[in-house]
Amino acid sequence: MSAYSNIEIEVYFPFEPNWKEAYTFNRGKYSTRILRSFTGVEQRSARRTLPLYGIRYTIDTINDMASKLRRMIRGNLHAIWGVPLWHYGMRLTQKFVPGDMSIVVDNASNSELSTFTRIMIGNSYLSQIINYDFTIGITDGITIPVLSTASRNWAIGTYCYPIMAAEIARSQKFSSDLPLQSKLEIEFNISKQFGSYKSIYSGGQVIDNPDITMNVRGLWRIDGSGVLHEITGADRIDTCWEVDVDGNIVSKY
Amino acid sequence: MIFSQYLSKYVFHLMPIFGVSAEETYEQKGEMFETNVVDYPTVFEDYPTTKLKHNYSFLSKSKIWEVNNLFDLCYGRMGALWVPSWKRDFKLSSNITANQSIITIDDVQYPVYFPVVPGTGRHLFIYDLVTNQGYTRKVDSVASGNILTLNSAIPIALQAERSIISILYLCRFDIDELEWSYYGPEGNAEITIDFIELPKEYA
Repeated sequence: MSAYSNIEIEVYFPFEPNWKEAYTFNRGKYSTRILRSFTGVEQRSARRTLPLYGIRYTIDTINDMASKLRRMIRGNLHAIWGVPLWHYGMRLTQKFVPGDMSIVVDNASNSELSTFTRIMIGNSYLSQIINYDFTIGITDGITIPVLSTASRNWAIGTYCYPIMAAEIARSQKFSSDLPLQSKLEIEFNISKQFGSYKSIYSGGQVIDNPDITMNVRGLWRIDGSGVLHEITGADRIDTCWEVDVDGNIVSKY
Repeated sequence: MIFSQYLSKYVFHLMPIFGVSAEETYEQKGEMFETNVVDYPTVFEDYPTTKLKHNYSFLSKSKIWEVNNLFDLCYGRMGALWVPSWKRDFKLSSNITANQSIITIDDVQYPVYFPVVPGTGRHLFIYDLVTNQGYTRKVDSVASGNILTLNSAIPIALQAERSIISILYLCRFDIDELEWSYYGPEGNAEITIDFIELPKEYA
């Protein structure tokens, strides 16, 4: 059994939505071909078994955050983004501190978390990206095992969000009512296949502010033992890898 | 799974928000060819199709996950499921006691509009407004135009004025995606779902 993936999260997008405005999650863009006869008999054929996801929301920023957001978008229109699913917030019910290898939240059951490989803790201003240890999995519905520990003390009540790999529309328009302010309605298109893939390299670096986020590159892969390997040299330009279920690279394209 | 099965297909039994208006549309495609002497109606379909547009609101991620999961099981528009109209399409003539499989409804010329063939109106969703329990049943036979024999008994007593009998439509999703509108990070969301009837797939 093997799987193909060309996913390499190059930059994380930590800007929270303005909940006062519309936040839309398009889940499950299937593609069904339907032929309906005169008598009402239908022939239906599915052309996609994995749905595509889409997320659309509005961000309002001012001052430094506004300029960071504009730089970040302009410099990474080509990139694969790591996008927190803001509507899937989970709250810490225990502190997450350096040394801990699991995150305890209020509810991680019945969730789509099982299809994700990374989690963001924090908010737009201070956050950390952590790799979910899917080899252990969530067994009690509240404890999420992780592959790296906390960079700082995270308090009870802090939100965590699953992250999905996504593409951004190639054209993004900011609107500003003042020179210091920017408003952006952003739309990402997400493939479930991106997120569901378990053993692919990912940007597992700790970030402390959006400036550093800009420099996070997903030039890492995790093998079946959960060990992080940096991808260097010519490997960086490979766009499609075949990886077995244990995360070992079989071949590259 | 919060959705139970009826005749091997899931029942989308969640009550829509009527404050947003639960729409029910009937369509039959056709065209009128006009001359200066006479008009020729041409039908492209020999049956009417029902479309339902329901709005739902959720306050928990687990419920939303259940809806998404059902949508995945159907592969979007591919699979079939049951959806009640949530209207009082029929009304009990009088209260009934528990464990009755024969019910009498107000006369609506049932055999005329819902002939005894597999099709619309032969499957019912009987909902008790007192206990908030719903029961899916098939009409096996009709006597005197308004006495319906169900395929199995209703286990509870029903009051005529505090129950509704809806048509249970065999449907599929009418759009290949679900668009959720969220209002916060805790999983509070609304959605409008479009269903379309599959008139020739009733068992």
